[in-house]
Amino acid sequence: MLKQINEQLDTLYHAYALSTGIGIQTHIYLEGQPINFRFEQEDGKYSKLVTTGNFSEWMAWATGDWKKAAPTIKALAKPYGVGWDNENGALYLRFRRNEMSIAQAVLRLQQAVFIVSALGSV
Amino acid sequence: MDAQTLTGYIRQGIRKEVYDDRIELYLPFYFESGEGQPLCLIWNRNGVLSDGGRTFAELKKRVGDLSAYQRSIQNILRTNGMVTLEGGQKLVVRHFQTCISGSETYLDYLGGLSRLLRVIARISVVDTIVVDEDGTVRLC
Repeated sequence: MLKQINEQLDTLYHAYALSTGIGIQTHIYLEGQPINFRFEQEDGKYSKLVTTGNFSEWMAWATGDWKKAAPTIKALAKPYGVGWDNENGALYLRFRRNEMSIAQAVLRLQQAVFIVSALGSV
Repeated sequence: MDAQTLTGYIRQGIRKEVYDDRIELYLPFYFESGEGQPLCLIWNRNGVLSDGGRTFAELKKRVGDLSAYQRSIQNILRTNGMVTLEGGQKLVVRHFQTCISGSETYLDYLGGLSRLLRVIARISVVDTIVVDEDGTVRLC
């Protein structure tokens, strides 16, 4: 049993190539849909983690209107240093490598997803 | 940077220790009251996953008496399934979902891990949110 767990853990936060950056498999599921992250470049440097499309769909469904819910979303995500892209319905985290490791950034975005995804219609 | 390099960087921040009788996974989880000490999750030899009581310990450290938050905590536990509270302190996952891949079936331990992290994340901020009967969250 521990062998199987160990093997599965080897795939945790596995990254994969995307045309728009690098995807990170999080193993977060909301109603069976995987919620993954994308690591993007800004000013030629990889420094931004963003939630991908399924999360936007989830927020549209959960809140009814994420633009109306934006102030609450922002307040819930703020303690993690995570921002809210109100145009695309995405959570994002900008960070510098000397301030935070990539693993810390992934976990912070994940925590923000877990809190914000429990939001009902506002 | 390519995907393989990124995977390597992420793994640098996540420690895994494998023993004969357990696996310990150390994650850089953010607790508001934490001093940067990683969250240690443990699978025992029977495949039972636990936070070792850390979530409640961190919450108590920050807010003291938890009685005002009991209803929200119960709502979080009831609406997220899989995760139970044992001994009033420890968050535990005893049963994992069975998945099918081709002709093989396996237990989804990472799905259980994700579910535990979801519960930990919500309970750890239960002093700043109100969780309703259906599990939805509002700001206090």
